[in-house]
Amino acid sequence: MKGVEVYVEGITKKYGSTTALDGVTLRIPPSEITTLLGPSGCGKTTLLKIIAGLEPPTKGRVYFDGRDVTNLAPEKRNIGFVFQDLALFPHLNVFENVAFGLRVRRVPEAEVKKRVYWALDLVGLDPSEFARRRIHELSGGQQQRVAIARALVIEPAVLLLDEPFAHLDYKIKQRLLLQLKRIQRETGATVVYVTHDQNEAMAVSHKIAVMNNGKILQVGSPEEVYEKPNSSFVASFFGEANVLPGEGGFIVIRPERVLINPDRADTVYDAYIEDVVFQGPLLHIEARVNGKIIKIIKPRNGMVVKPGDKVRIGWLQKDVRVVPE
Amino acid sequence: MKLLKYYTYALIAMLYIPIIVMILYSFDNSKYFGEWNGFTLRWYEQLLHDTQAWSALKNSMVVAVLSAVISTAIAIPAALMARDREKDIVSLMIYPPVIIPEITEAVALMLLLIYLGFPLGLVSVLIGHTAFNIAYAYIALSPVGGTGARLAVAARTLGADRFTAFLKVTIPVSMPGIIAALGLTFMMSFTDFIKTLFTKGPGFDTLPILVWNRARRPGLTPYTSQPAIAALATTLILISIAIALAYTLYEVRRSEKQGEL
Amino acid sequence: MKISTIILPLVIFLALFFYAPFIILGYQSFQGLGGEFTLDNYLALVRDPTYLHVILYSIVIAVETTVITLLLAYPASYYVARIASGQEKIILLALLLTPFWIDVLLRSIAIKTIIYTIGLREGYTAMMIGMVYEYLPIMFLPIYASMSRISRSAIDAARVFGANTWDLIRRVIVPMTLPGIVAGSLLVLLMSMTEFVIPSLLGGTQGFTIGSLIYYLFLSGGLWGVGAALTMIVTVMLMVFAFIIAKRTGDITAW
Repeated sequence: MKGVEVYVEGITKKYGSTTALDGVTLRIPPSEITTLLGPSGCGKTTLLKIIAGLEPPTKGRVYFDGRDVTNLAPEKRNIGFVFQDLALFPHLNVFENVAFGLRVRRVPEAEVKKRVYWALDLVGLDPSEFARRRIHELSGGQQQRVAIARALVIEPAVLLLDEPFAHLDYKIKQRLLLQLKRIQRETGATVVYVTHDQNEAMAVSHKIAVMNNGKILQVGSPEEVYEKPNSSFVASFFGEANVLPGEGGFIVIRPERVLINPDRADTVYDAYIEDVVFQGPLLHIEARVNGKIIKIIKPRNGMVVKPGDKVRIGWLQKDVRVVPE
Repeated sequence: MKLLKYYTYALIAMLYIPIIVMILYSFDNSKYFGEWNGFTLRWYEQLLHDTQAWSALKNSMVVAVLSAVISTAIAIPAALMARDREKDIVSLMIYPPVIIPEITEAVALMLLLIYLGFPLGLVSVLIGHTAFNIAYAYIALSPVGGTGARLAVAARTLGADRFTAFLKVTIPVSMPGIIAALGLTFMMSFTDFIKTLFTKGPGFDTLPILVWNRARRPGLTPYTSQPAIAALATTLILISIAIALAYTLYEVRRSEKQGEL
Repeated sequence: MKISTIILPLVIFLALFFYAPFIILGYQSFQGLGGEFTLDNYLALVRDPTYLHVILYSIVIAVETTVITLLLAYPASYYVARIASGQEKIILLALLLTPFWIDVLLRSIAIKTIIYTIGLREGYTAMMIGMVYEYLPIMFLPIYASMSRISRSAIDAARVFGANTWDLIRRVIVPMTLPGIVAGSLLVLLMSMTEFVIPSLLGGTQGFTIGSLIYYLFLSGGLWGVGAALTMIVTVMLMVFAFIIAKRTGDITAW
């Protein structure tokens, strides 16, 4: 399977007087996982639905491998979609749910069986055990996998996932994210993944597009976006950040780059330790400088600070990023 | 999709065309449906002096009001105060009155009354209506039942005895449901025909019975000419719709208020 | 089991005036003309071709009413539940619900005016028009309810995975509204089978159904024994039917 390149150009979507998307242009590379990351209401799900053809854009075009598909019906786009509420068909068993896209494509019975079993295997559900089960007999995580298998079985040009793991608990979520990466590697599909959870985005993406208020603020690899945020919003939404007013706008300094009692630093302040929280191997420290709280994250080994301590904190100029807003 | 829209509109229009046509015929200066001889109000004037119709209206009102009050009063304690296990018994008992065809329960009740030597008339009709109305009152009350019961428990922890809690908390809190139950049971009784037909005995006529009697033997007297029947039916429909509208408006206002809370 | 005083009025009233009558009815159905125990009343219903004919005829009318109202109501329920929105939906629903408040007797007279206007008279066609008219809203409601319960994304999913309109209807919408179809059909079938007013007012010579037969046996013919037997059969049959379907729909809705 070879994924297509998706290109959305100048997409605007209005519902009455509210603007859900405001002139969004984005190139989604083939055979990679691209994440649309943003708070709820930022327009990420709307963009996904426009790519799928479930919503028409008010303005703008959608291209698959350079072909204009803006006016193509969703059923003709060859898309795999995993819905937020999964949207599994309650009247069909696991096998028939997965087979749905093949049945409506009039795929011969023997081929249907082969491919459904392949898809179930791919998501780690044993076909001999699960094929005949009813949907309501499955756990949340198993239902997720059926939804993914249903989307994969048609060998889609693009696989779209709308917050598919939002309602699962942490451990199952981690396992499914790893599985999704593996499936993407094995199938080479183009994947667009929508989430509001930065940890999911970091874990799964080749490329992240951070969205807010109907606009794409920054696109890049997780490392790029983390190291070089182009705005205070991106800095705070993707990872933790201290955002301080400075020359030419704001300066952004990541908590793990803040030094305590440094031998050498470009900027140094006197500070009080307000709070110290243990988070596994890390210490989350809050220090007060001139009435402002600075977040600091340090490995636990060797670090001895407690609330009330008077310390000096500082950072190196190379770790500071200046953003205009 | 457009086609589906027109189809739906046409289908709904079909539900109303007969009623509109009937209303038109009630102003028809002719003796039969299907011919139009000019506009007249005489069928309505005749209705004003129709002593049978007035007496039937009085009977209908008496039965409907009494049946609504009695059935709601009987359903209130069961719907608002009963414990879960008791509610199971009640649910089991009110299910058949809702699903069994009315004609069979009418026949059965008639037989019982005749066996007992019970005189057929106002009281027997009232009993018949109340028997099915209890179920409807209970159903209309059940949505408010839970809240009333929970708040009554709260009142009792504050020192109110069971009776005071019921009177001062459960009843006021459940008022919307009680009014809904009264409205619904009044309508069921006011428009009921079949149960009345079997339990009324000779000489006691409600409005639906009067309509039936006249519609069965059309054209023999001025009162039974087809436009005259249309006029009587139109009057009844207007009463029904007026009550239904009041009831619906009340329900809408109530749900809007709950929406605000 | 101890029954508390709170539900006692309700229990006594229904026991006395709803359940006791059916015991009397059952008793009556086994009474011969001289007051002896007999099965003749039941046997008469099967042996006498007149009775049997009326029963089968009523079932035919009920099945026809069910099929026609189902076919008419289904597309409209899809439109109201899934396409109409906001103000339009509220108005359409109100218009569909209002007929419930107008008694079948009055609506039969209204149908009569239409029948006469288009040049028809009382008879089979007139009666079927009346039946469909009466039972259409009853068929509509449960289907509408199950249609509304289909999630938007289930339909989106079907589209995305390649279903055209026909696939969508056949593989998703109809199976997912099956509980509504079953419930609506059952309601209409059971209620129309004993319909009395419409056949009497609109059926003319073709209007003799189970309802009319019960009326005739009790109020005109004085054949109480046979009437009671017929009523018992109808009641028991409908209760069993309703019970089975309630269990089946329970299974279907257990998704």
